[in-house]
Amino acid sequence: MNNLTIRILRCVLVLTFLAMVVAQTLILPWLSAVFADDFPEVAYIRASMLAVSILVIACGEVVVVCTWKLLSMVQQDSIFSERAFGWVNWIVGAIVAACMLVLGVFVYTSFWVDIGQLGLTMAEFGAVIGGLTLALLLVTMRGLLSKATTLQSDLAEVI
Amino acid sequence: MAIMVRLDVLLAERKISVGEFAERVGITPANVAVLKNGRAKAVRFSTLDAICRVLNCQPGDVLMREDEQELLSAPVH
Repeated sequence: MNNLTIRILRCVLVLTFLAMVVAQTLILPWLSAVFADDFPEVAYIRASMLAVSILVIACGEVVVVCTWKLLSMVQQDSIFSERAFGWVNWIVGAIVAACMLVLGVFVYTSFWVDIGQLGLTMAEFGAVIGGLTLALLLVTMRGLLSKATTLQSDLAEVI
Repeated sequence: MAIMVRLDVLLAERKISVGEFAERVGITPANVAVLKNGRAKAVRFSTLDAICRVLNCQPGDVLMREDEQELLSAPVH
């Protein structure tokens, strides 16, 4: 990866992180208030739903931080090492955690509380499937990283 | 490892220091030590070519195979 690509990716990561923080602190609380006003009969779940959505965004922030760290390792040419695996594991874990949270919301809003918004609950289910697919893709990529690390360390022993 | 690299003898005969040898071959002195101690697992042909060029010898002069089984079962004097 050349330096320009790395710099562009870093800018994208910073912007994404800022957008996530703005979403957590400004957009979601406001949206939560709007929904509570529009649907007063389920307004009592407002606090828990807001908390869960903030946690889901926090998982996204973890992914951004880990990606930044992996990008630094690519720049220092130390990506094919054991240390990289920890960061990849954190990314996979964060995505799976976010999926579990959304799945919990899906179950809660479909069968327990029944907010009556079928489109929204279907979107939640779709997000879970999409997120799990993404996690599976990252596990495959992790296998690729493992193979490349093995090859790198084998080649390093050749004089 | 059963393949020995006879650098000690050849360097002494040619009167070349380890540092100078490493520089002329194009490898680090640490790797020269790895070769001498028999800890090397693989050598590139290009490196072997450079070693033979610097020492002015054939690969068979610098590489030697010792059969470990024969070593273990050799009669003790």
